[in-house]
Amino acid sequence: MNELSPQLESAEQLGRALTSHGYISSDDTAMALFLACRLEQPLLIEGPPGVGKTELAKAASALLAWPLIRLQCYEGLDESKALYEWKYGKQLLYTQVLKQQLDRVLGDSSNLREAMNRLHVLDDVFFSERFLEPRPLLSALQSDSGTVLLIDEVDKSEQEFEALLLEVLSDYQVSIPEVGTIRATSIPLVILTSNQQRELSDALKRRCVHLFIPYPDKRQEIQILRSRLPEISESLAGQIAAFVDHLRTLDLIKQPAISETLDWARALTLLHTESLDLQKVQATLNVLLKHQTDIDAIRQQLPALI
Amino acid sequence: MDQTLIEFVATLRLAGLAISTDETLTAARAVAVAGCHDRQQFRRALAATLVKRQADQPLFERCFARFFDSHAHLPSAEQAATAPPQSLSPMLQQLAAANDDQLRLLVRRAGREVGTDQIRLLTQKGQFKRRTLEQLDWTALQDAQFSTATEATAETAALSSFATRLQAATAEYVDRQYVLHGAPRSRAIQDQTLARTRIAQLDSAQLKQCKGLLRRMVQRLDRQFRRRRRRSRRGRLDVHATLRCNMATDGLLCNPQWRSRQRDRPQVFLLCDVSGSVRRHAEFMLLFILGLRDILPASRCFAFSNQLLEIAPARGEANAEAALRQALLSIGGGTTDYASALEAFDRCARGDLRRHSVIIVLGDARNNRSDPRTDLLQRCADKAGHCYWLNPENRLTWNTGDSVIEQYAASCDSVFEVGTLAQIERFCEYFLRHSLGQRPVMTN
Repeated sequence: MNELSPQLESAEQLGRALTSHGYISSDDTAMALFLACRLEQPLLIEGPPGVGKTELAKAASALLAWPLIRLQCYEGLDESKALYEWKYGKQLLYTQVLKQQLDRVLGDSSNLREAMNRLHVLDDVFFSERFLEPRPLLSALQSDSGTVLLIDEVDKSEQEFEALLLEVLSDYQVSIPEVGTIRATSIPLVILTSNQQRELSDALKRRCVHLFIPYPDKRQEIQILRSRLPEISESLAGQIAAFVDHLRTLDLIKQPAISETLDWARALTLLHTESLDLQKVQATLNVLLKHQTDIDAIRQQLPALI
Repeated sequence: MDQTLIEFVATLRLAGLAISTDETLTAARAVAVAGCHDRQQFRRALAATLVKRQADQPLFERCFARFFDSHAHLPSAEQAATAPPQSLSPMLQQLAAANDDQLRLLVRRAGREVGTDQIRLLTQKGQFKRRTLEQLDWTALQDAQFSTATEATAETAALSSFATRLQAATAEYVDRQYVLHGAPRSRAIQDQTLARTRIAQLDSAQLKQCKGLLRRMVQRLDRQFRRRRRRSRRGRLDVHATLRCNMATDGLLCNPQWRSRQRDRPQVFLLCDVSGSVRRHAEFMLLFILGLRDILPASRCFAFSNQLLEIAPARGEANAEAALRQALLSIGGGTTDYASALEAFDRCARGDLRRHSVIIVLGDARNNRSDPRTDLLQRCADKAGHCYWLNPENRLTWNTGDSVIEQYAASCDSVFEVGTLAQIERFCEYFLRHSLGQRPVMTN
């Protein structure tokens, strides 16, 4: 990000570059990603599940030609699984293997104090970077070229984990007591996603550029369908988009998101559908709706909807 | 640009968004990067850096439209073509020669110097208008007009049209400053006064305003207390997690991990007296509990006068108010009979009381000199974790006449006075803090 690639000249150009990599974005999305790259701040994406939050990170990684490091959050995620861990086994093994060497070093010391002094010189050896097992956050900071760090579903983690993230996200550095402070060699692009299951802490939100991705409108949905499924006909794409758009206005437990629309469209094209008819829709409804209550309710209304 | 951005952030804060200084700095950098030539891109850059909650987006859009709105033409702009007389000061000459946008810019600069963003009341508009005009050399212009008043030349006409134009621009600026800064402030003062007025003395217009205020209070409490549960420090040992956490100490159990979680979402049983004088208080309290449904999911509300009626849980705010109104209609007319109400409650709900249940009774404890049946309340309070009594009357009138609050107070953890909306809010915050076992987070 330090050398400006031509895609990052303006938000419009970034939007066009995303489209060329297969991700149809709204202007808000392009602007938010543009600001996150240029201001070197993390990007927090909120929205219902399935609207393309993780896809945006993947598209950004392809666009910038940076590797994607993914950290999936869950309840109980802590420092040892997210940040770093010591290779305890390796430390023990090396101690055993180097026992003879140690004896030689300490062997000719005359008293305990001298032995202790010699040992003090060595104590940093077993807690050096060589015995540090980097987990996603640390490996993102340590990589030489830039990376895209995707912290997925951060709302599923706990408050302690959020507090851990604060140092990493604000200064792009991490403090390891035995080794010291490790600063990022190149600032990664950090993308956090959240399904809004719980309210994130203000301290975390304050440090991020915020983006909310809603369900797409009909026109955008058609564009996405035609971009992801080139073999689909324009009329079918229009019918699918209109149908799903109407479904979203109804009172369902889980409204269909763009990922479900894509799966359904793929299923319909596999069945060589030219236009929506009652039989095929009934057969494939479980690809679009994921709750049995919703499926039953919509099945009853299908004749009226098609 | 920075000054304008700071003013805009100030109006956003007055409208209710919490924006820190750090976020303002980020917004300034974002605007520098994104540019301000395109209105939509400018708006998007500000939205991405200043709006951190999805619910605040409509508020932001409204403030943005109001702050950066496109203006109509100022009056008599056509006559500005005539050259200003040389007798005027340089500033007035500059103003006279300026087009609409430049004139507005100069007026705004002058307004900032006299501190127009401090406007608080509607009645201050004239004062700030005068001050801004003073800053723009208005007295010199008036003198010039006065000295040429007797002649009817083109110069007089030009001067008077210029004066009208300047006045229109200043009036427009001060009006906008009032809408952006003064109106929210005066609304805040109004809200405060309303929250401290005794509910029994509110008239119907104020009651409607109270409903809006109540909704905002409920939202604030909801945000403060929405945090996740605390991890417990006892329970069954989670062997996997413990071994994993203690790898550093080679398996010695220095840091045990526990499996169970504390169940600290209380179940609220709210009993409200809905007769006569206490009805409004009951309505407000019920709206509070119904609004905090997300934090108190299993709450049950009962209304009583001479019989007890459970208010069915409803989805959505409109349904809750409708259910409430229905209940009030059916039993609102009777005289209060605590004994029969407590009996009915004991019968239908005592079996469901647990250690994490909280009983809240709202009433004035005036039982018309009949048997208060405090034993029933004692029985229920023993089974539940906590029991609170809310009395809408003034503390000085407690235990006078047929009030038996002292007898009921013996079974309760504490008795609170809830004569005003502010007191109801304070009670809710207290009881949420104690039952959820957390300190409220300082947000907004």
